[in-house]
Amino acid sequence: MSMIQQERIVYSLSGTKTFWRTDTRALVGAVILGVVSMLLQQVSIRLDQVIWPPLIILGGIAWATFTGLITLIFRQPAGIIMGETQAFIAIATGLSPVALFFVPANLLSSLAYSVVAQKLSMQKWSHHFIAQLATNIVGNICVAFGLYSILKLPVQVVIISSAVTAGAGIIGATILTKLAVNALRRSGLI
Amino acid sequence: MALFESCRPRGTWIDQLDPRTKLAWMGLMTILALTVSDIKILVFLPLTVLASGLAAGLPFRSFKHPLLILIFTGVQIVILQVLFSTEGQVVAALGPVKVFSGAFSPAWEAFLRLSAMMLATMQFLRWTPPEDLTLWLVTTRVPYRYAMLVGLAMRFLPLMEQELGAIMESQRSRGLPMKNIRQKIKSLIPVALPFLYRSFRRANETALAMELRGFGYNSRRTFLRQLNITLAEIIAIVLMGTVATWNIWLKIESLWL
Repeated sequence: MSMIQQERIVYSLSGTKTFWRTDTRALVGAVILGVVSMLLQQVSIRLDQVIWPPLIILGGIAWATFTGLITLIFRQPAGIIMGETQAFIAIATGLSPVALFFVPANLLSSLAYSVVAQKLSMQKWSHHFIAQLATNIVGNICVAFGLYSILKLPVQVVIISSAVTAGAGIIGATILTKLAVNALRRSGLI
Repeated sequence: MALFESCRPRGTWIDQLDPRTKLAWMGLMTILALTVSDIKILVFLPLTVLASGLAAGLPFRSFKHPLLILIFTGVQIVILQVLFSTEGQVVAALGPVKVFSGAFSPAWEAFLRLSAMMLATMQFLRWTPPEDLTLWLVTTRVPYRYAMLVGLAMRFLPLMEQELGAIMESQRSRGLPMKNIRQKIKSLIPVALPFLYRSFRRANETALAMELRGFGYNSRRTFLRQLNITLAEIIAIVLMGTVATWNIWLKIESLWL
């Protein structure tokens, strides 16, 4: 039996209440999925920019879904590693004018998701909703600072833009995270 | 066109430099981009990054794609400012939208800041081999299990980009339309899901391969190469650090007053 299979059994036996997970699979998975998240966000944010630049609806949903998915499956520090990998590449590829603020946003939102995921069983839709609520609120507050300080947008516009992005992220990412986790479980990949 | 071009030796002086010097240069450019308010200096920053890249042997065509992205993002910033800025006098009216004179200065400033940061970060990734970054992190006492991850991310970025392209191509060949915006939005899930599955499988395989080669077996490991920093580079890093600290201090002072 391979180490990966052993880890999988230990993981499934120990339940999902752990906060830290530092096995090779979690660390490598975090990095690779950080890159995947970044690439899919490149596609979705560019689409957002074409549709209506002030709102990042598709990009926000993609970001929140990946933050939730990786944190839920690989725990910490994988969530943080994934977030920071994604933030660094976002700066290097000019993904967004406020990409620098993705660094604190991804760190804090991943931690927020972890805290909720540790307290709840994450088996119900409501659990996913609460976790995404925490993630999106924390993440969008950080990005709101970026919109205000770098783009110098009026406070009212910043609040409306962040609220709409967070709202879409909470609803979209709740549905997508739950469906993706279930699909990945069924396929035997996690 | 590739979003990200991985680092490869070009046989120029930049290959001889220590990654800490390159990191200090990127850090200096980012800090200056964030702290400087003088528009003349902000114009000078992206140009300096471009000039240093060309001097180090990076061909101009390697900046073509980032510059196109920057133009696209610049247009987005201008639209945002035109839509929402109410500073200054009305210079034009486009239906219900009034364009104020104060919209252009913040847009130009934000565009220059973003250009400097993006070009400096991209330049750093293009001229720093992933192994050098791992070695540098190990010298800062980061456990090698974590230090290896930076190199892994840089290695996997072009690979995963190719994989995403292959999935898009295969979905297109199965008849999934991706021509207009609506079709592209609708195709997001059919592209993202197989990409996610493949990535999980690849992560599992990579982790297994690494463990079978003894990754994480010992808490310490040795490396074939060692980093050697010269005295001139140390002086350069100290100078860059001083300039960066001085600018942060000036920014804090200006915020207080």
